[in-house]
Amino acid sequence: MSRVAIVGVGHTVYSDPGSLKEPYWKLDFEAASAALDDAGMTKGDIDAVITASYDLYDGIVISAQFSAGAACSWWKDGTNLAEDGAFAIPSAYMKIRSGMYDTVMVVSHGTIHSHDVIMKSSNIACDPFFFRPIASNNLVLNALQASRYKDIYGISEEYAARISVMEHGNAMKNPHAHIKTEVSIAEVLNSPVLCWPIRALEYCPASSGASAIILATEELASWRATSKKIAYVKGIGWASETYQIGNNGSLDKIASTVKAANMAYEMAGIKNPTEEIDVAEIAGVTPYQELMLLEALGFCDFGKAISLVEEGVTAIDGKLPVNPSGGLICTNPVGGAGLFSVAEAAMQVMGMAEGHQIEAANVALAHGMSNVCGPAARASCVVIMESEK
Amino acid sequence: MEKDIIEVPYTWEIPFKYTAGEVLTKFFYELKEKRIMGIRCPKCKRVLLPPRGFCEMCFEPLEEWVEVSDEGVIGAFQICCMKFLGAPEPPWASGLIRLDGADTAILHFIGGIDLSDIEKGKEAIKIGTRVKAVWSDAPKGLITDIRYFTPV
Repeated sequence: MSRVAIVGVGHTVYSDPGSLKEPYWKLDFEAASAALDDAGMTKGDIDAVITASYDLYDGIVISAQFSAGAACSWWKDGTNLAEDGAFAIPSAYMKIRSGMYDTVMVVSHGTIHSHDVIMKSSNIACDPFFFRPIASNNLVLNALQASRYKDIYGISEEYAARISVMEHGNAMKNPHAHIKTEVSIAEVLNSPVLCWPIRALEYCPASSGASAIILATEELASWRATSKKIAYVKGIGWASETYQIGNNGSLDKIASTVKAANMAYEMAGIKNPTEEIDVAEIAGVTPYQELMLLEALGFCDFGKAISLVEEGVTAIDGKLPVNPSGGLICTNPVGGAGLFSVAEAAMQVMGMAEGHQIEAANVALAHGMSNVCGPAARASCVVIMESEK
Repeated sequence: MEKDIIEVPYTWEIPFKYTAGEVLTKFFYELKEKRIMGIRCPKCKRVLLPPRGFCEMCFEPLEEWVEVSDEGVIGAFQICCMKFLGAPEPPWASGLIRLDGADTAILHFIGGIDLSDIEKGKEAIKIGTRVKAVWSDAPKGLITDIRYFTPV
């Protein structure tokens, strides 16, 4: 059966929500247009469209109404996921593998325009009986998770700060990154506490922008102009856990990511991820969450992520660079974050990354997750892609 | 000359109602009497709190009520130092608390401690700290009938 290829990738500029000059549907249009240009395709070449967005963050009920046309779905199968953008990839993959379509466009964005919107909306994303009245929101829930992981494995504040410094350094090299400021460990440690143990320079921003990816059959991909490398989807996995963050163990390990990664590794025939993967883009919104994800993805044993970072394995010049894009700590289009990561990973194997291009990046892993009720990482998605050798 | 981009402000004010259903209605009536009720899964035997009508893990309907203690242990905490729309004035703390007799934790405020110095605050409510419910004098059948949990 035909493999599925990523033939086009497009990002808009990612910027501060406050400085937004265009509505989200125009950002979707720009990202979709960039992906079409990259693939050497036009609107007529796209068979189906999947968008991913969250209504409340966009401030519009059924916010996808506006995204669909902006992602070229006129007279086509246009579906929307009220989920992180990464989850559109398995759906697009299955649409092609089913034989129903030859090409699928996937578009996702983030456009939360203020601090109040993200904090209040993520409070309303919580259940109205037990979580909402206790002032929970994305940040509070991420802080609970961080305190637990920090305590169990004795993660010092300096170690957490080091992750943030690394991410900020990587983002400086990425023209698409939102936050481009070099920071030092001392600056991170002196930045104000938002919710203990998370400090301002350790927490993801809300970024405005959109990303788009075009998937196609192998036949179509090889027929396309061959000046650029093609990324083939080698493995894919996704899994849901419970909404209830108080359930046993759900704060200690990101179980849905473990499950999703194992599914993707099995499909890709990957036995030793640290050896076989060349670069990874993962969805940690805090340094603590990023460390937990390194463990959940099987890059090291549980509780050993700090050693992995200390040995330089995950640095941009390490054996397995993690988040050369600067990750979600520097660019976090809420709702579109996972698709940003998939696009960045695809750009690495297609040789399209710029200052942050990893040399000889043939196999890339992208990870996205759905984050409310936050820390439990209710659902995770892992995509492994490989460039044609 | 570049013109400022026009923005249209909008505030959502829509009254909603959420149906608690039989399980949560019973839970909140009991809470009004200062009793905290969990519900046991016949298959995995866990006592779930908050209670729910079914066990997601075992996919079993649940009906065996079990009273749990209003004392328990902090499993995770945070101290909020920034102002959020609709949240208490900072600093305030919350945590995941596993009550004695329950197998899962509930989220609640942690109070009755001085949070003006974070270093002292985080020691007072560190993970593993035993806490006890401080009840409202005028219970309404809401989770906030417990005002907060405080170190024992």
